[in-house]
Amino acid sequence: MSSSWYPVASGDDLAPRHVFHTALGGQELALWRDDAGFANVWENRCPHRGVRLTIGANLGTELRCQYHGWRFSSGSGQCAAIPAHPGFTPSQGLKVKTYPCVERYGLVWTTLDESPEDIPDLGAAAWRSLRAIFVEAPLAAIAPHLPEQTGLALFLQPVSETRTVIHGLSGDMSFSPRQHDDALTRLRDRIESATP
Amino acid sequence: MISLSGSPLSRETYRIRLLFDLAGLAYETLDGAELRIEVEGERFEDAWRALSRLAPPDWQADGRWFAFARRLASSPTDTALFRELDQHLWFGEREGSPFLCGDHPTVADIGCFPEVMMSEQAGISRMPYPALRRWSDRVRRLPGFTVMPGIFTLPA
Repeated sequence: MSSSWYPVASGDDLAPRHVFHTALGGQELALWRDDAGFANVWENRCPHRGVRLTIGANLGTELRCQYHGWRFSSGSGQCAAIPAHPGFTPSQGLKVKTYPCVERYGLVWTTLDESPEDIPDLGAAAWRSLRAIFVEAPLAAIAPHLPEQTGLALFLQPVSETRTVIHGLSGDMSFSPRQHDDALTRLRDRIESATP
Repeated sequence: MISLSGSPLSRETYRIRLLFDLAGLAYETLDGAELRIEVEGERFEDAWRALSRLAPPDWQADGRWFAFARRLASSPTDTALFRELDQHLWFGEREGSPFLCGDHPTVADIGCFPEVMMSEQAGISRMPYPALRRWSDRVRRLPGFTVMPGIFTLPA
């Protein structure tokens, strides 16, 4: 994986009080937007027992783990409360691992690297995010097949060694989202049938 | 009066219970692991027939998505069905249809729900189906929603 920012969701994917599930380079992520609109990109793992946070609940300012109800604060990932110990203030080190998050062009970008290259500059055009297409194929099997089309920007999110998401942005409003969706779905089917 | 018996672990029983609880139909629960639905002495052998016959008018689904739910129940590991559902729901979110047949839930949503929620136990991750995950939040937040083992409620 190159040292880059990757789109891992569209802004619309992070619905109010929802916890979005994805992965980048094999690292599972839990994404959630707090009630003030801030988007969190977290490791999908409760620091208590390692349970996936994506089965937990977005409470608006905190995310609550489903397993023992530990709650973690938006922004810092700091543990805010442990129900089994009501009077106890969790230590500063007790937090979920967080990743940087930038929302641009309608997509949510993150990076696993310390010093990634910049997010691609798409200029000032208005972009509309398309439905992300999940492909059961490695990134290297998809990149050569991406169409070059004016008004269409495509980005690849390596989910794991064998799975990739295609994120599309349309700047050409004469194409409907369904037309783009049909074309990308056909592309997915072609790539998957050519992937052993 | 409606009476219902059936295994608490069965998806068929859960579907019927969900309809009764969500649509606010009063019923009594009888002991017994075998699915048995009786309404005023009439007994329903087929859970899908019971779903469509007992659903109040505003819970009736259009035929396409009711048939889809039956297909999903008989092929609960067919990922092509999960893809179809996810795509339908993604466009629905943009077109004022947060549920399968429009702006309110129907027996098509109830029909699909147990298989969707139990998919991870069957080895199918829901990660590739983000619109389906958001829909499952919406179903779990409906007034009257009830759980079965392995399915959690969500706070408002």
